[in-house]
Amino acid sequence: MIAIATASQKGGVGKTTLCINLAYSLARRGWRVLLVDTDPQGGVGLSLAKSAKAREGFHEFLVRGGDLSRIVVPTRLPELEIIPAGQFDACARQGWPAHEVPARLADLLRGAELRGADVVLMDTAAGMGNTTEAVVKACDFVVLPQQAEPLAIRSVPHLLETLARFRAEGAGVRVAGILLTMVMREQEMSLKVARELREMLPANLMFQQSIPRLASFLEASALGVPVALTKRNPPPEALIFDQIAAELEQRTGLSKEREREHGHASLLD
Amino acid sequence: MQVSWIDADRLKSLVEQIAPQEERVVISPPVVEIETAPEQVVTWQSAHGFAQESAADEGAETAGMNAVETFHAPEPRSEPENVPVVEADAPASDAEHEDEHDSRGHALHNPGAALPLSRIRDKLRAIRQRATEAGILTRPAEPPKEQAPVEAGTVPKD
Repeated sequence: MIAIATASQKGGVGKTTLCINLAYSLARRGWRVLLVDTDPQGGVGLSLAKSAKAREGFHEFLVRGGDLSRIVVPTRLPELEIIPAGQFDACARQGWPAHEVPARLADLLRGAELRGADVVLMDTAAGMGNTTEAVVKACDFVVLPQQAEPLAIRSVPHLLETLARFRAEGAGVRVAGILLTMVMREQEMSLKVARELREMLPANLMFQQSIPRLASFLEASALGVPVALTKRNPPPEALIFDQIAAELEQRTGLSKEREREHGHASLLD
Repeated sequence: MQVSWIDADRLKSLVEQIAPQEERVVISPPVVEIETAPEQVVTWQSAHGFAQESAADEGAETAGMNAVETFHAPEPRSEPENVPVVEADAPASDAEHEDEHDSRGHALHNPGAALPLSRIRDKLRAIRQRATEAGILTRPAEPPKEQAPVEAGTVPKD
């Protein structure tokens, strides 16, 4: 099992959209995925199910731990389960000891592993607050969505500095890659920002695929579904997340075990 | 004109800091056939419950079984030197066993069947404990029985 966090310095870069669609793609590719919403705004839960608003979730688990099955929400896709954010305000009033958060996260990941999850994908709040820092440190990999915009891109060094600090503190989390989001292909400036970043960073630190800014993503968020489910047949932009999922499998070594066991498939039995 | 306003040198330095410390090259070990069945069936093994346990957790007990077999397969010798060999082998076999499980990881298509590593370790410890309590691992080699001296001139009659 691998645990992957998404993190960004600023909000609105597309973390939640990425998490929802990536979790769906990975599940469609056969991985058992547990999507965990650690963002107090609860973007994942709100997007996916109106009933998730009232459910207990991640923050209740931070407060009192316990059995993970109490807070896991199944979806129509058997391979995909969700832990919504829960009732952050109520939990914040009760409070949780900051020093216990790493242990709670370890319990959560252990519980996920015992449930048979192959991938735990953790959506986080913007910035690097205490909880987000603990979540990133607890994970094996972190994906860094980065808006392809001149001012936004300045946060890349800050984020890498933070990760370097984590490394110096002994955290084992590795960068799966920086993923450019909201790329406006009709805007030369947006493309230029993307090009510059790719020139400055090594290829293994940048996802080949990027996520364009498209109206269909807004529509999907409004409907509360992954982009692939907005139409009967998935629209072309849904395949972007399949590409990202495939890249992620290679970057994290997730597919190594499966390739070793199965090798290539034959067209005819 | 640079539009990203990022210092490329600083970025390069940060990239070096976050690079993985070591490129762990995981070389898939060749498939190693491990004999799980003992060559000789020793009755007291069954009495100590190893046979029953091996049916339940075959993989977890392979190391423990092999450690026991190593001690008992050869003929008992007068030198006590063989006994410490078992103790030295047992941790190594545990480590090998752990490596096997680490390389295999979780069964992707039947994740529920794969035991967590911690449980496997617990089982191995329990086996070793039982073996120690039974005196298998720590029991010193019994000194050879002294044979009664043969008196000169006596010949056993049929």
